[in-house]
Amino acid sequence: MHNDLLIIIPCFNEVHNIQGVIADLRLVIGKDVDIVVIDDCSTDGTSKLLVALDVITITLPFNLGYSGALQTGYKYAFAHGYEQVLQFDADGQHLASEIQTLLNVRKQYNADIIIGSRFAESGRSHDSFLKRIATSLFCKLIKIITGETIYDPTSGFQLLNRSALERYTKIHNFPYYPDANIIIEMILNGFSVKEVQVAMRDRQRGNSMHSGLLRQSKYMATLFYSIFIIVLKYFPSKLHHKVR
Amino acid sequence: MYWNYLYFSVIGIFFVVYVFKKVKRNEFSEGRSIFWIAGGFTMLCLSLFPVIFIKLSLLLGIVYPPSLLFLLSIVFVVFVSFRQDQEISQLSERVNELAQRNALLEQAISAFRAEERLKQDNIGE
Repeated sequence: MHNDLLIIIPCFNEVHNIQGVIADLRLVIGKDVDIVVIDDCSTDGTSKLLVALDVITITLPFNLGYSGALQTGYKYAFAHGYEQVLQFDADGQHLASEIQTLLNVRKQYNADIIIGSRFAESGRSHDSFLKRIATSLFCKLIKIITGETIYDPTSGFQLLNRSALERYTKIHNFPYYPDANIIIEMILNGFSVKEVQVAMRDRQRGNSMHSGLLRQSKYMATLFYSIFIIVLKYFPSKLHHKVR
Repeated sequence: MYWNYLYFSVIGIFFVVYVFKKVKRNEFSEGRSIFWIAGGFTMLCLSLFPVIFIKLSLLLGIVYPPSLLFLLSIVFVVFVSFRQDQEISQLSERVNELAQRNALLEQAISAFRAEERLKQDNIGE
């Protein structure tokens, strides 16, 4: 017998952060929530540390990237019958204390996807210039394509219900960067998305997967292309006509 | 100019024989070899019967007929290369799915073993 909610933590080379993240989660949420860490074939000793931390760990045989690890977590959650899933970053950016905020919003609005947003109420002045431009472009694209206003489509702090979870497990060619593209696709398929302001920290230690100009450019180009493909896929039947 | 066609004929014959040999030794699947055999035969036919070739070139406005052979070869190679890339992306997706399934099964096995150990410990006590 397990809990209703599962926290999924995709993890790659986070030996310096993961211990603190798990400790924070256990301290704040206690035993009411299950945690699963998807170790994306880490090479820095994260795997050994996870064994010592006594947390459910799924170890991938080779590096699948963030999205592959995340989808593995979805598949685990779906197979084990969890009703809700929370994505949580292993780099220490997400705060365990904010989980309750997302759960409260879920109870209040019963949306399929709840996004913990850094910008729903406050500005986005902490991000780099390039990232600010990218995020605002993605927000505009979401508005144009779906008619919905999402302020922080790049946030990985998300709570999903079982129907959204099911959809995620069944997507073939799950996008390499599941951000604005996947949100657009979900909205176009009739899933409701609600955003809530949460506090977040800066990454504790190590480098982000989006660090460096080249990686950021690749990320933006991939995401724009992915959105374009989604528009092609659903045009004109589902644009502005959300049907599940 | 006919030497060109002779070269192409010889290359075409060698190519077709080479592909057949590979298929015969089970080093190349029948399904995948069909394109190459078809390509090789086309090359062979066009080189053995240059009349078709010359007429086709004139029809397409190509002044130097062997250029048509190069054009067709390039189109064929690009087509095969595209198909291969498409198949690679499909295979990558399958490999990813297998890796995920493998990881999930490994986790299930270790959870099962841990549960069994716990049961045996309890019986022992």
